[in-house]
Amino acid sequence: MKKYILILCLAALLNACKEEGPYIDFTPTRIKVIGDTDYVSSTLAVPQSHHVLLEDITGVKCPNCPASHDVAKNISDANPGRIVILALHGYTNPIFTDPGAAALGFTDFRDSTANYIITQLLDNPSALPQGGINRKLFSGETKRFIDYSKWSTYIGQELALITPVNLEITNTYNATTRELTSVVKMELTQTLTGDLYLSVGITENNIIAKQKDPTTTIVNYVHNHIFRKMLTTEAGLKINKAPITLDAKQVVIRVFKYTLPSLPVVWNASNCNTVAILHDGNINVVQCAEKKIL
Amino acid sequence: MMMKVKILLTLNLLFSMLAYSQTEPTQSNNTGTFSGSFYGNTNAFIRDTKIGATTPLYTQALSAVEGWFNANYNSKMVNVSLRYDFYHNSNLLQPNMPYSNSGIGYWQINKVVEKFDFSVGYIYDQFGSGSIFRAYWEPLIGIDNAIMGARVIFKPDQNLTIKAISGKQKYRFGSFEPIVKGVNAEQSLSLKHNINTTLGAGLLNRTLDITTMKGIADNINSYDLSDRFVPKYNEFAYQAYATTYIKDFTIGLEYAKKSIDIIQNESSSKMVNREGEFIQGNLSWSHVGKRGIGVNLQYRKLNNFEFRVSPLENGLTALVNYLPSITRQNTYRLMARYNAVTQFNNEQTTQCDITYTHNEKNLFQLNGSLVTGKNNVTLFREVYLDWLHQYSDKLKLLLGLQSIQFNQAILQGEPGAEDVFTLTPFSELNYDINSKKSLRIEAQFLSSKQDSGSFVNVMIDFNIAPHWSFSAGDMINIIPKSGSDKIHFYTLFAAYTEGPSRVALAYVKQLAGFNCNGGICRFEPAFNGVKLTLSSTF
Repeated sequence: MKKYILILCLAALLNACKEEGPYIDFTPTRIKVIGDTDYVSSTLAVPQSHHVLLEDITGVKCPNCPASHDVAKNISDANPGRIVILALHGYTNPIFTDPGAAALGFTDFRDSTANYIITQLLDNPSALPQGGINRKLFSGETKRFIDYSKWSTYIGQELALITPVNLEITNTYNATTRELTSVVKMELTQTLTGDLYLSVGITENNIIAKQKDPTTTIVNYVHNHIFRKMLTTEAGLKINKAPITLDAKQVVIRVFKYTLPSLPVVWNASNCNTVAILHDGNINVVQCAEKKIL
Repeated sequence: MMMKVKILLTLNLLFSMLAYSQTEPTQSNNTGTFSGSFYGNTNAFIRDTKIGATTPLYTQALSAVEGWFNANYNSKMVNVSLRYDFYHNSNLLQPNMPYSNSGIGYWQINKVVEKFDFSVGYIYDQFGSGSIFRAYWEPLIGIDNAIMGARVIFKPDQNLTIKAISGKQKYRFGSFEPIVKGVNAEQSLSLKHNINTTLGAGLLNRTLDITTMKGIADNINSYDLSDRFVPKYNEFAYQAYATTYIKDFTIGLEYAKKSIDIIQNESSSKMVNREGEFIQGNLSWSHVGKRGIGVNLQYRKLNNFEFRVSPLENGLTALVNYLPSITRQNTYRLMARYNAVTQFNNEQTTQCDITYTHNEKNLFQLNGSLVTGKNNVTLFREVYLDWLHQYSDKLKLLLGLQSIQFNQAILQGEPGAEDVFTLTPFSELNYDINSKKSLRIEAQFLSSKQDSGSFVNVMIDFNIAPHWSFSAGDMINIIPKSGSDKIHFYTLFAAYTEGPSRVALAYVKQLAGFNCNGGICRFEPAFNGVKLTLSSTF
């Protein structure tokens, strides 16, 4: 009898709890928007400065996260216009990210897309704060998330690169209808191989809400770069679909429309930004851009 | 052109002789035994545009060397095995393109401690018939799906075996990232006099890694909305089987099921999320008396049972389980031209095999099989009959007939191709000239109005024991389809055997077609060239 119990135990070891699958986008497939266009330019554009995406994996109950926010701000201030920051509040590490009961007064910034980026693209850290830099796996690192003490070094390396794609955002906002129109222009400054994907999202700054720090809970903490919404799929919109190629001089323009929500909380358009991220087939970011809505 | 071939052959011969001189002799002492084998093959590729032998192997690589050296040390203390593989411009792993790499292809350390057996390194093993798990090496069709990890076998008594395995599946000199782990148990029972049975059960789990899953999710996110689904990281497959022996009868039953998993939809080339099922049964009866008879009936049903460590792979790559065709495995060149390649996701096969021994001089064999697929469409049908007559101790003659229906559109992946119907009479004559010399002649005529038309194949083997073997043959498309030329596919072969070592030199010209080993088939492009092979065991 004992040996059969052993077999059952071995089999039981293989059974898992209910798992969480990857993000699959079930929103309707993108329909061509007026203004979407693509052409080949007659001249080769001069590469703009290379920008760097810093995805700060954070949480409202993460005591050390304000320190990482400060590091991100200092790097951004030292490189004006060249650092695009996303503050990602996910569902993993609930001890740091779960705001708990409403009575505690913490705001719930968690988002399923942010969670997808953290778990699927940034190797899902088991402690916070951490951050991804251009979603790259740097030499000497084993994961794509990186301790904030190293951010400055790796960002410096990335800033020195030359972008293969120029990326520009133009925003138009209708204050009455709260409809945002973001026009994203991509222009290749060199020929690329592989695939290119575009992700477009919205972040919001200057949100006053509770945040833990190492010693106390800061009631009026200023939260910046809060990730609000992805207008494309998380995996990105594939750019090089026939007849579009990734040859130098190729220009692709895509238009995104979105009505800023008023419920459950009003997004303050004055504090919101459109963020565009271009990444290759290995999810490494090749260029990014940020533009205020107003 | 001929000069190039001569130079390449000379180089190949030098290499093989060098390799031969380096093999170790067998060593044995009181503490253990050392054994192993060497296999080395060189190909000189000769371009032939008429048969389509024009891949980069023929235009760039021109020649190839491949092989392996296997060494085992077995003692009471420990068992250690190691195999060094080398592929230089080889077409073994990818038939269309040269592949080059070399290194440790296999190693294992094994220790038996009373009722436990521990192994780490590369593991070759299987659960039952292999329907949910088989890790094996079949280098001639590019299969080496060893599990890199650990295995424990526990034998509490002589009738019960429990094994557990965990690791990653090998891919060339690396591995796939998903994890495979499983457990299997087998119990032998003697129920009554003349009734014995073996019961078995297995469970296997595959967990996808994040990178593989991201590739899958990216694919799914590119589908139409109605085709999208949420894939699972974990896949579970289980099996239960029983084989019972009652006097002259053997009854085998097996059932296996896969939890919902990502597989390729053969009709749309998109991934789909489906449960899978496998059912197999066989009944055999044999009676030996004045006249011997053996009957074997087999049935198998596969429904969405493709099982890979990574759903992004295809062909024979990354398969976790082993589902060979259960139809007859033919060996003659023309009769093995069309094969029932296993259709993992939708297949039903029925086979009947009857062997009748009338007396010591006359033996008959009858085989029939039918393979159907989706909507009961016929994929493969074979009827086979042969008669072996022994005229004397020195002379034997085999006569037979084979008929095949082959769904080329599905089994060979050529949409729009019509079904191929063949009728093939065949014969083989064996004649022992004296105690050392023997002669074998085989001939087949494949008659068909489809595909490449009708063929004749004749092969003559002459052996002088114990050292020499010679063979010469020609296959010709004697009635080609309109617009095609008649082409001779010559084969010339000579081999010298010295104890456990053998050197063989062959010129081979063959059509594109299936290369099958143990019922597992791979479609390979045409080949034209010279092969020099050295093999040895020690």
